[in-house]
Amino acid sequence: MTTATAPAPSPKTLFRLPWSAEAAIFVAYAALLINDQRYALIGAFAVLLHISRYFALRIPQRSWIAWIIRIAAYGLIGSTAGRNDQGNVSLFDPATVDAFGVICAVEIVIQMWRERPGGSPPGAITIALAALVLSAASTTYDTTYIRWLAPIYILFTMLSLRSYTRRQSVGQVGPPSRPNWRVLGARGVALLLGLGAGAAVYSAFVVYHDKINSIGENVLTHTRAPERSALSSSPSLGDSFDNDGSPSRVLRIKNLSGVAHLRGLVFDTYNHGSWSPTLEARKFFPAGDRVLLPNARGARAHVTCFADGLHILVAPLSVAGVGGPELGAIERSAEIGNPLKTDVGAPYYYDLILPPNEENQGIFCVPPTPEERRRCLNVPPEITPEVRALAQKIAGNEPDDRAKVQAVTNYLISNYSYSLNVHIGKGDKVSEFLLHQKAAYCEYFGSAAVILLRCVGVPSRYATGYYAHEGEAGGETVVRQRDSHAWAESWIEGVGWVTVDATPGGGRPDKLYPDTPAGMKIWETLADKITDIREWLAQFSPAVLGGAAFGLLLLYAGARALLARRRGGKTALRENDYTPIDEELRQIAARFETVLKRVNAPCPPSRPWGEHLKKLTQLPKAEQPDLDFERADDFVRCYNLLRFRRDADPALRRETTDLIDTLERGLTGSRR
Amino acid sequence: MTMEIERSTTPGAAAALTQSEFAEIVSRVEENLGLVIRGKSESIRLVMVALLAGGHVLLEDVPGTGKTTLAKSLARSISGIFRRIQFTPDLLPADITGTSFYRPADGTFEFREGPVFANVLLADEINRTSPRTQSALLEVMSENQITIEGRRKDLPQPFFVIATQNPTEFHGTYPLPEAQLDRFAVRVTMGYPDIAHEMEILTSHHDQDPFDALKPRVNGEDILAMQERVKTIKFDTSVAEYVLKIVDATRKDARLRLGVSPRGSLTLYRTAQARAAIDGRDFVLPEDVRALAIPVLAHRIMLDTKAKYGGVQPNQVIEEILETVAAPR
Repeated sequence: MTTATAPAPSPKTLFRLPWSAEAAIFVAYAALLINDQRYALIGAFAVLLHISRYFALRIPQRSWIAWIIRIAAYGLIGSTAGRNDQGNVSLFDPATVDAFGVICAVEIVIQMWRERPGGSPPGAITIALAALVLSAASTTYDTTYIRWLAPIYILFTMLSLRSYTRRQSVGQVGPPSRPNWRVLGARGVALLLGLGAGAAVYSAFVVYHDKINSIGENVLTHTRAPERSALSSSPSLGDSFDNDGSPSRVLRIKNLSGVAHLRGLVFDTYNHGSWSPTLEARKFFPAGDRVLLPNARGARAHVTCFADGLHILVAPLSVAGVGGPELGAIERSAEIGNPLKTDVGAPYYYDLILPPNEENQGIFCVPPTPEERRRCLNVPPEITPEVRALAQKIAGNEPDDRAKVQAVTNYLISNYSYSLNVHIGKGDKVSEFLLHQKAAYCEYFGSAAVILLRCVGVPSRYATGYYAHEGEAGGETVVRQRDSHAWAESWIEGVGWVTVDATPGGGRPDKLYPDTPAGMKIWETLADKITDIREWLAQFSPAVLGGAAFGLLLLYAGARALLARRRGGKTALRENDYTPIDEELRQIAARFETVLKRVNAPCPPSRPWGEHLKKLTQLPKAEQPDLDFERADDFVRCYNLLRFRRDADPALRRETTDLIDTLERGLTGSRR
Repeated sequence: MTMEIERSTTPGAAAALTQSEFAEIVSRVEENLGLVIRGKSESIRLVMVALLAGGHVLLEDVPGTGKTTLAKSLARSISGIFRRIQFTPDLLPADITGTSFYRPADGTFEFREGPVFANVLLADEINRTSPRTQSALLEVMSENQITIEGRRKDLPQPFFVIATQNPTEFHGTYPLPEAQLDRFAVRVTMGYPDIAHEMEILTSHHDQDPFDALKPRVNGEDILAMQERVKTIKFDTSVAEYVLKIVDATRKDARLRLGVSPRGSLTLYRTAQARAAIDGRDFVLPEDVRALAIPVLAHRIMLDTKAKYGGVQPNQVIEEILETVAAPR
């Protein structure tokens, strides 16, 4: 093959990220590697990323190689994603988030090794992907290292952004310029200063983080407090109520009617102001349909629980059964009060079956065993004799248990007042409250009722939960963190377990917190919409959802294609429908196109051949197609005369045909 | 393959120009300009194309890149009347076209010609004057005539306007109205020279100004003859369709508020002929159209607000259109 023109010097298409951007990516990679040591191959990504600086070879832009690499990597990484108990991929599992981070890490490498128009490095996209990698790496329980890596990452990212604004080192094409030591030195000093400043800020955070956090908390409490359960696994009586008045939502219940006390945990052992057994000390067993009675008769209330705290399912004492989509995940304790629990993360959903009668004896109301009865009657030794005497004075003479309960309740409600702050000195909390303090909050009233009733021989226990009172439009009830409440449950022979709330009316959550901030309501309305969608989606299997997503994608692609076609296509190539030339010439043209295609240098429809050949000869010698450029140039010149000058010279036409014949022959010759 | 361009069928002296004479004149002028303007053969070629297509040139670039020097050198290369107007904010239309004044001796009015009565008119820093004065150039540029006090006056032939403007400065400037931009056949940006050529500029200016050594290389009649010859260059229907497709695409592009006018397509047609002639061909190739699309069309289109603030450049739009319109083969 001979070429008329000497090949132009190879234009270096090396493109490099600024050093700071690359360093930021390395920090993100390191974070991911430390977070999950399974991904040792991240080291290889870093090496691949770095050596892309020295090789001009790139994956062609429209090539499918990048997609093959992607699909292989996604499959491999996807297999490491976190799974839930049923073996399905769990999107919110930290392992899944890490896997997503690794996918982003792969994408950075692919972006660096792909050909790019103009040869500029994929700056913005790699920075965005590195941020995703670091975010994925920060979903960890061990936050120590991320506290160190994050400031370094931010510093490097800022430095790389700086070079964007100056439009300099980003996209340096060609060989690197010689280092300027003064500039490098200045940068080094700046880096050290930056690191020092970062460390100082970090130390300040460590020392003052409580104060800093409390500022944020104070601001957020009245807008959106963290949604956590106010239930305690081991309640104890203190100087102030462990309820900060947060309007954060715990439950949303549809069709809850007639009941207000939603109990969570029940305790029967009192010891110097603390109630046990604790949640941790209880044993839970999977509860099936036989225990939960999901098909019991009664009105159904649908509960959405937003609080991710103790995973306790709260329900009225009288509930006839519990149902819902996540029934299989519910566990029940066979001890004290039979509380229900689930391991499903918030939000979770369940149905309550409410009987018409509030004194109904449902799944929670198991008659006490002799041992339980003994514990429910046990008056601890620290209770002073005066308290026992007081109990006798209040209810000792009442004829039956029901009357005793009534008497104790009335006595507490009418003789004691509500106060959120209590100053109990030394001695037993309940005794001090009953005899001297005479003002406290619901936990004291609940505990005191239990002790007083036990003193007069009514088996009683202590219950904590929520007081549901805030009705919403559409028959919904909202229960907030500040609605947490405590009361007593008593066993009345012939009736069963009943709820005994001895807190004065003014101390009940409905009187304490009648209003909810308007901003909170707006936020909740939005959150409800999201929860509703989530709940609705939960009824479909992953296969159905995947299919639907694929269908939507197809629909979108189809709609786009249709729109592009209708618009006549800004992107679509305008048709080659020029005034026809004679058939022979058309065939000659088609043959030359085939020749170009055969040597892997097809001419884009928008480019004239002459220009195309010129472009090909400017390629580095190694990349030039195996084409006889001299003859090809001659051919194009002759063809142009025939085509655009409409030359009718038969000799010229013969020459053109000869040239295309020669070109085709040269092609087959070199192939042999 | 050499070819002898057929003799033009147009009668008159102009037709007597042969291909070799044509090429010889072009190379003479280009060589002359090359003495002063180093490393800018593309820009020089574009100015030649505009001159031979009978159009006017707008030179646009930052200060100091040789706009005025190129304009002056071209004017000096053509023997004829050269006038220069330095556009200033206080310039009035009559300062350009000329004015009548009273002669008390015989009680008559006499018309004194303005600087437009020239073969080559250099309008320096054209965007520094008010739109009122700018528009006085409108009739001059498109009709080659002026009308003063109801009387028509023809301008000398050839008439060639070469205007310069600085696109980066906005204080005290008036951007050229679209109507006037449309009257420039090509917009040429100079750009900085590369290091080697800048070194040549420094050494050539060492003890003298190379501009002083320039001599006229072509006369007005030759230019007219060349312009006539350009009109005889064959333009195949398919290439004309190609021109129209490009123009049509600018009118349909969603990013453009204003596409290319028919005057624009006509200019592209004529300049493509001029380029072919300079290239030694007697027929136009699609390559000619592609090479001239940006200099001829980019200053005629107007971006819509979204594209403008989205960082889209007119050149880029034209480039993209060139990549989407199929070229005839």
